[in-house]
This record gives sequence, C-alpha cells and structure tokens, in this order.
Amino acid sequence: MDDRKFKNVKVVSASGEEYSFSDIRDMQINVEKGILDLHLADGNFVLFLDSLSYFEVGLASNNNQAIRFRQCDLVLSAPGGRSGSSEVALSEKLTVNDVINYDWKADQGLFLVFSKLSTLGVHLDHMVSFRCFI
Amino acid sequence: MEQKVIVVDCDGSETLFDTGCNINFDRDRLLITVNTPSVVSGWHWDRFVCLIQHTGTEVEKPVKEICDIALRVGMGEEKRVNVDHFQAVELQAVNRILVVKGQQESALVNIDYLKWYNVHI
Repeated sequence: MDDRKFKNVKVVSASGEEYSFSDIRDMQINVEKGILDLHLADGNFVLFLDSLSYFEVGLASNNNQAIRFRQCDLVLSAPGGRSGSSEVALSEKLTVNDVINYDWKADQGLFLVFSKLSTLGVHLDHMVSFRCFI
Repeated sequence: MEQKVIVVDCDGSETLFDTGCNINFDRDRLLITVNTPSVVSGWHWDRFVCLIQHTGTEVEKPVKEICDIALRVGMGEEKRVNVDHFQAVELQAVNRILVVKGQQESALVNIDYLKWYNVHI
C-alpha cells in the first residue's frame, strides 16, 4: 500500500458481513501474521485474512498510471460458501473500471486489482474467475 | 492458438472464446488464463469445472465413439458435456485433471467436479 492515502475502505468477510471505514490513517496486510490491519483515528480494526472475502480501498487521489483495461469483471464464490468445497453457491460479481493492472499473488493468497480510483483485494479462496477488457 | 474454447464455471455458466486464444495452465499459482487480443481472463484452478478446446482440424477417418461427461455444478446440479470422435482419456492425478481427447476437441475436466464419464457409440 506504500505511501498512498486512502479515502475509505470496505471490508467484506467470508461470511458476508460488510464493514466500512472512512477515517483511515494507514492500512497494512501482514501475510506472515495473516491479518489485515486498519489504523483508524480511534483505534485499530484487525481482520484475519482467513475470514476475508474481499476489501476495496478508495484512493484519496487518483492513481495516474496508464490505464490498461477499461473494465475488469470478477466472479467470487458467494459469502458463506465453504472454503475448499467443490459445492459453490451462486456467485457474487464485482466490476472495477479504469484498471491499471491486476496481480494474482498466489504467495499472498490474494488477487489484487489496481484501478484509477481504488484497489481491490480478493482472498484467493473466494476467487472463481476474472475477465479484464482492454 | 486454439480455434474455439469453452470454459465452464463452478456455477455451471459457460464462457465462450471463438476468436482464437492462448491458454496457460499455471499449477504452482493455481491459475488458468485464457487470453484473446481484447480480453484477459483467468480462473482459479479449484473453481474451474471444465475447459473444452476445439482444434478445428479436419478428420479423415472419424471414429464413432462419443464420450459423455457428467459434471457437478452449482449447489449439486448436474451439467453434461460431450466429446465427439472420442480417442482416449488420460488422468492427470497430480493436476486434479481428467483429459478426454477427441479427434477435433479435448475436454479438460477438474476431477473435483466430475461425476462420471461414459464412452459409447
């Protein structure tokens, strides 16, 4: 996440609960500890990555790198679906516009999509597929 | 380059590529990608059900055997696909894939979603 400043963060847990935060000082993903750590004005919100479906971070200022894809569609296994099970409930679809790049980070267990306005991170256990349109 | 590719998702939906595309299987990263000049697509290895590749080659002596394949999709529903002009099956246990080869097309099936296959005339 480097030195970027964030406008807001939405975190969706594996069981479907949604958490939104707007006053964020910093956000760190610690893969070794397996946590997503949000530094808020009035404390910390720590979510274990095993409990994460996805997070979406709104950037305070636009990312001005060149846009590679006009749109990326993602299909996620539905919240509440058992991880590792071959029985997958109807999927949840996410769309990100003005995508600069994506990164399938198998070593971190995350699929990241970097766009002009936001960064999306999906736990790989919840990824079904993605399509990025040039 | 493949002539035509169909990917079946774990909910049973199909994605068709008919403009010629490159397929890459990356077992280490559990990622399967299908790229066309205008779209980059990817599937989690554990979440793709079946990928059918049509080579588009002419067959001089077509065989009559057909392989029907029953897949488990969604919340336990069944989906059928078949490979015409059937030639052989090959189980790649390490990759969790069953390859069903035909003279003009091949199906790569994620065995986690395979119920059965049936070869007949």
